[in-house]
Amino acid sequence: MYWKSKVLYDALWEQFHPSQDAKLQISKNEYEEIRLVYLKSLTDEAKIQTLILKPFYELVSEEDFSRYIRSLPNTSGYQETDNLAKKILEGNLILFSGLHVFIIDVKKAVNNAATQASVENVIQGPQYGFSENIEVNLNLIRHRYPQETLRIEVQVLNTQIPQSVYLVYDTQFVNEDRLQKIKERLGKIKGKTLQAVGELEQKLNHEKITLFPTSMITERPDRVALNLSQGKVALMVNGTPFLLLAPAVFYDFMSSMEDIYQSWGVSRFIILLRYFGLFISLILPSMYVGVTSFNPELFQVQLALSIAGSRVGVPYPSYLEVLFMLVMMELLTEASIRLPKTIGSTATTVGGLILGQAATEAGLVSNIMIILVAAVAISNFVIPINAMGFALRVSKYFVLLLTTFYGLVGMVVGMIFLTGYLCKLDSFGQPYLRLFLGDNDKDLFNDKETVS
Amino acid sequence: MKTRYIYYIILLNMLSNVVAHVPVILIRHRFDGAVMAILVGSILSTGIAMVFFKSLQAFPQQDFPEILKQHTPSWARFTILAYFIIAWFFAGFITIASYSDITVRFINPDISEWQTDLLFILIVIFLANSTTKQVLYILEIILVVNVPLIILIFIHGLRSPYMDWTAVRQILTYAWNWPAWDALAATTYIFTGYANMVIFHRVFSQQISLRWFPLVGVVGLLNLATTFFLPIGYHGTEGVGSYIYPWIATADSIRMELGPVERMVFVFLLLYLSISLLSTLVHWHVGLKLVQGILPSPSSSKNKTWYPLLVLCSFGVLTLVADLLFNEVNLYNLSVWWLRLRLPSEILLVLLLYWIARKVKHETKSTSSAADRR
Repeated sequence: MYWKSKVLYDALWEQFHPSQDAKLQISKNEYEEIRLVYLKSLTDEAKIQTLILKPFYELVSEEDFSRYIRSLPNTSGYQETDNLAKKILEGNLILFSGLHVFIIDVKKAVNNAATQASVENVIQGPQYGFSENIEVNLNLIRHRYPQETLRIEVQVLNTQIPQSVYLVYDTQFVNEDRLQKIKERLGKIKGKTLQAVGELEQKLNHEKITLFPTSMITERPDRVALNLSQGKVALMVNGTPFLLLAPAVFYDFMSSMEDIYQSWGVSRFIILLRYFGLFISLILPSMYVGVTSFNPELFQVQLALSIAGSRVGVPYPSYLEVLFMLVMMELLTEASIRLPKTIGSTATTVGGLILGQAATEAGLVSNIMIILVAAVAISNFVIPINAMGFALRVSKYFVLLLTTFYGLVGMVVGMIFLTGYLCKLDSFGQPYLRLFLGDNDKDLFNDKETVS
Repeated sequence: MKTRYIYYIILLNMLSNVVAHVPVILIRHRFDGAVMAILVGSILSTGIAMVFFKSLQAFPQQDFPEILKQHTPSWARFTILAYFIIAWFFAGFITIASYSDITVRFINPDISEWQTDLLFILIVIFLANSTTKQVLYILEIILVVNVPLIILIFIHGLRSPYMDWTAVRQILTYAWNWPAWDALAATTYIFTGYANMVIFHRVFSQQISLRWFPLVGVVGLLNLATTFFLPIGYHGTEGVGSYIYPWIATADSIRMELGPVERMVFVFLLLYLSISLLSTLVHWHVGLKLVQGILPSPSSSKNKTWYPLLVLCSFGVLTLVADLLFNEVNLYNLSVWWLRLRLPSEILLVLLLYWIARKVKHETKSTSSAADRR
């Protein structure tokens, strides 16, 4: 054996032989001897058998065998810059044959079945989401986006245990500034490991205190394809069925894929409904406090009287009443997420129906309050992307706080504050919220967003 | 940025006149020249604004401090900017102070005025401390939500049977009186939104077309007529003189029996709350950027984030203290004086800009013709 390959082999032997699943195998036929190094847990042994061992004993000369190996589609010759140990950890097999060293990809794919989309459901439209395997996901994207300008890049993070992040974008639409910014931030990520794109999203955001999501997690290949054509970048990590789309603006979180699968009128109506829901879930609790405690004369007299009538038995000021019911509802929502599916419905029935009924009868809260809390809870779930729904769930307490101190003035100021906050946010340099951005809005894709 | 943002800035001032004592000044002069002032003021202001935009065309993407820096000596720049900082600060101050008065009087009588002031000042500081583009985005969203409702109230008010057109006709018989200076100053305030372009112009790179600009004058004229005549129609020619906020009293007379909210005054007050906060936001943002034009931000990145906040907080503290010392009459007098001084200062500003623009054009022409000769 040529001394250089011997050095390489010895180094690998040193590194891997204590591992139970490492296999360092020597095979001999009449003419020569080959050595194989691989991890049993990462590779497909049947593949090794058919691809390497069988031809090794069938082919007659040394020349033939090495020519055969070189022609395999997933083989690459050894280069000085290659780190063999790393290659093995990625599921490759290292083959030492005479003077040559080959790296052969014999990965065993696990979790490669596409799963049913469960977070972003649509009625009519593609039903399957991504799988937990990166190769399958790339395959899904390539199938949905057959375009030669689609570029796939790999960037290895500087975390202690390195993890590669795949960047997918279309070179003809992507905004170079934003892409550069994303790469720059990826380079700055520190930490031990990176397991999911949710973690990646947190680490990409340079602000310390965040509430609204500035990049979007999705599980739908159709959404990814659509967003790629809008100039966005998809970030993928192996081992999770979710992708990260960046940059993302407010409207992205208010849109469902269903919007483009429905007729124009229907989808406009549904979008309108969504904004109505957003508005209700934000201001209804504050409105109740403002109207009962500060300005009962706002609505018609009859309504003011009936609210006052239903609050006769309630000993507490309105803000406590609202807070009590809202917190109860949040607990119920949280609990029903964690519970097993079989008990979930029981819990919500017991919690929602019986608790609400009992609370009014006990005189803790008014009847109207129950309607209000139900309306808030339902309208919050109209928002199609969960991350935005959560952010709005938190923001309504802020509006409520201002209303508790300042009445309806506080409510309006709170809404202006939220609007202003969203306008001040940016997602990788793209303004987060602004009106009327059509496809023809030039500053969206090409203009440099200068700070001024 | 798109041209539409310029019209938002102008529109904002047209709407916020109600809080800046414009109706009460006009109504005070209803028998001696307010009607004429409305006509003359509209034409005058539209003309001034067109000269202003025409001159700005020579300086794409530049704001007023930058223009001054290139073309005037530093002492002149310093004096002019300092004067304008004070002017813009007071523009914001008057709006916040009178709106907090309104809030205490009409919405929240239980909450003391300084607390209301504090809330308004904090939100304005938070919003004004953003980039110029972000201010325009905020402006757009809030205007688009509010303006249709405000127009609805206007139209509903005009169509109401309680609107007495005889009173309006009576006031119109005084149309030929020579306009009073105060009334003229109040009228031109409506159009003065374009003056904010001294700062906002830095985000506009395109040539601003002036062909349809006279339409702004027409819209302003209609708006002024509504501002002036609607209270007269509701309260009568004599009765209308007894209010310090005639518009709020008028809005309280408008009812929408079948609407979700019967008394329009609440809707009106809440809508105008956003409008006046936005108006203060725009004025203080301009003030902040003018301050930055005199004293550039420190270079270290940590101080850089604190510097605008510091400027805005000093605006805020001044407002808080001054508003505690001022009662409504003081505030009204201050507002009148501010308006009186505003008109000549604005004309001076436009003339100065026009002069610089001509100088620049002349220079470029002479250099280019010199280049041709060569």
